[in-house]
Amino acid sequence: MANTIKKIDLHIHTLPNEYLDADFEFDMATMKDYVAKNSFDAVAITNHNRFNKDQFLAILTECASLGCACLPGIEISLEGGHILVIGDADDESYAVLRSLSEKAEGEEHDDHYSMSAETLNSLIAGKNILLIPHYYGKTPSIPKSVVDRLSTGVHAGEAGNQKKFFLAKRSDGPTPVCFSDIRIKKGTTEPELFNYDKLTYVRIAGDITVSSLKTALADKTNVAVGKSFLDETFDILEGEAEASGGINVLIGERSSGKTYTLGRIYDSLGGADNPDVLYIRQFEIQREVGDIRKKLQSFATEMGKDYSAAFRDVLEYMDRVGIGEKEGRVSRFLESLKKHAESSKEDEYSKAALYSFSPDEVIRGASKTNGMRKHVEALIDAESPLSEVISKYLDRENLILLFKELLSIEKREEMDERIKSIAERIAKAVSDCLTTKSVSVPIEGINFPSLFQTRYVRKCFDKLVAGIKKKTIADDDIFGRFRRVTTVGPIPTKREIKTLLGIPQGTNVDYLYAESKTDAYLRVSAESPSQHATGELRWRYFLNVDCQVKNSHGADLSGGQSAEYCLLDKLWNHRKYQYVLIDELEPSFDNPFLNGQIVPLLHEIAESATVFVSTHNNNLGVSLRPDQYMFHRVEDTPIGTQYRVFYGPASGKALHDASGEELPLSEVLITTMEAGEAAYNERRNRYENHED
Amino acid sequence: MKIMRINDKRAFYIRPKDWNETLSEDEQSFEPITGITKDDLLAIVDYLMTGQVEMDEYKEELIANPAERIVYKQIYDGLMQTIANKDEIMADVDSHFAQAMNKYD
Repeated sequence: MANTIKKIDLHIHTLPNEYLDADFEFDMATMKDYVAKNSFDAVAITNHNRFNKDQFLAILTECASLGCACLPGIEISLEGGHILVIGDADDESYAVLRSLSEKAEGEEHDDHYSMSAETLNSLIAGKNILLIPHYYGKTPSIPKSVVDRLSTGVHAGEAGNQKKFFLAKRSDGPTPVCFSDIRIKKGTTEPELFNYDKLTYVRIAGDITVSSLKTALADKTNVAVGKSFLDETFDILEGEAEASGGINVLIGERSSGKTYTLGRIYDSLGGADNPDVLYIRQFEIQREVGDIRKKLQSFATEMGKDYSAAFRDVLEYMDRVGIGEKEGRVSRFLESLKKHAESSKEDEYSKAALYSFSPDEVIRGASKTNGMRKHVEALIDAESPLSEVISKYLDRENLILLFKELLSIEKREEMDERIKSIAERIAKAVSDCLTTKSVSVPIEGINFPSLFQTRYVRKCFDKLVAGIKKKTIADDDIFGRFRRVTTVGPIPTKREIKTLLGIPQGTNVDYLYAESKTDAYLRVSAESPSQHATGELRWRYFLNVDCQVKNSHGADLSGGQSAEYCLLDKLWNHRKYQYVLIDELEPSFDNPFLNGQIVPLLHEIAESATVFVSTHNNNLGVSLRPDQYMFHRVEDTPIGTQYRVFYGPASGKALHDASGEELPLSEVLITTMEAGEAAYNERRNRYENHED
Repeated sequence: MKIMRINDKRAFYIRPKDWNETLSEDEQSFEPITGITKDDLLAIVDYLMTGQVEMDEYKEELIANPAERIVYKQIYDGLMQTIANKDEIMADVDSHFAQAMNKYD
């Protein structure tokens, strides 16, 4: 039977799991839209730990009417990761999926539920089932050590994105696949429906069944994420074009639609909601240069937020302890005590032990058991590759047992605390009653241990602030030829404090420099946020964070250098991003910078991310040595203006559009990058003449 | 050192500013407990962080003056309660400052 290429998405959610999903309501119209607009040949319904046969059969019928196969499945929580278990639409598979669903449903009481590999093995033994674990960077991943314990082995491994798919195709692991993991619900937007970074093309013989998929997935050359099946390309623009997983360059005359294309790609990747995408818009860098001082200050604040985390924790703890309020009570206590004593009107009520009872007000941290339980929880929840390291030394089953025992100890401790609190409430009620009945002057109670705590906290805080004496480097980064140094030092000067926090110049801040820093803390905390800074910035009164950028000569940056710094600053964090989109950098930068700094950096970025660059500059367009070109052309036709996109590999001879029309690549490049052959030859001759 | 005592049916304390560990108990300048001030009390509480204090145990029948009896009892009970809990409290406060102390030292 001849192989044909089918487009599949075998990871779709249609029911929320109460412990693992945000609530959503399934919508059949959206399901049909999703299948029809993407022209899928097969989908699978894989809800977390649940299989609902009735709903599946309804979806199966609708998919059949669209010519799309629909397979029943379930996404099982397996030893810390997730795995897709998919069957055929027949009674045998329904029975297997139901048993898995019932097993999980009976034991799942929180988001920590996890089935063991052995249980899964026993429930699918002898059945024709497809197993696809979260594997290549798809979280939560299942470690290889767990996969090795699955008696049937796995038939593919789900990848987190196309880049990971491409890397996986070159690895020794199972065949990679990319799926959407989409929630089919009302209100799903168009870009969400065209989630092109999450689908797989598979070369398969005959109908799509578990058996035919198993055969196809046994060979990595049978899968792709781009319809052309070329290496390292994937679909974009609702299937009208393909992009490379490496570097894509968008070229074309001005107003030919390049920015529009980047916008569509950005939207289809999730736009601003997707933290994995960096989009540097046209002229964005020029705009940032004017505000570079502000940018550095905001960076210092961001760095400071990290660096000051421990300090802010201390301030929050001090807020809870309530130093000012408790110390203020001492005078009232002594005053009332003396009046009570002087009245000398002791009666049976005032002589009772509970007459001047004051509850325990000592603020305590979380119990040691709680801290230990969180550490154990972190070990259980660790994802690959750390989970594999942990499983080498610690048995997961034992860790779960330990977690449960610590949880029960913690619950007992909480119960003791509650009983103590109830006892104190009763004692306070009795005390109030005795005070009301007694003829003597009541004593305003004070809890001595709690007072002691406030005094000790005061001492610790004064010591902490006084101990910050010198400036230390919190961060030191080299960006190409720039050096950005962030320093943290003791209490800023009066001028710095006022500038940083926008305090009016006439305001007296001498109290910050008095001996007791706790008194300064009490005063800063009592200040109105509108007068000074908001409560979150209190740490800036005590820690001075500053950020400076210098060029390679140690001097301040020129305007051009500031632009270079702003760009490098954005790109330097590329490891955070899976996609980097850049729209025309050339207006802000000279060719030596683009060629010397940006071209190598983009190649480095492309090792772990997919890059799209729109440009008219031949350094970026040609010298960058992209993997794929996307040429944009605008045409006036009798039916109106048409924007066309021709695409193809940079190693090929031609670009083509969705209709198959071809353009010679060399001609496109000479026209767009060099202003045509005549201009290119004239420039070359001029250079040669200068050499002569 | 002894900072509160019961003597001759009366209750006394030494103002923290007059504390002198080199003197014997009888050489110390004791004041009636009813004269204790907020600053005295805070200084005594502060002293518990680093030093040991002694006090005569409160017994109702040992103090004749009812006012002194009431003040002595309240402060004695409060300080005893603090002494019993101070190590645990200090360890807990230290744990809240430990990270910051290490980071900004």
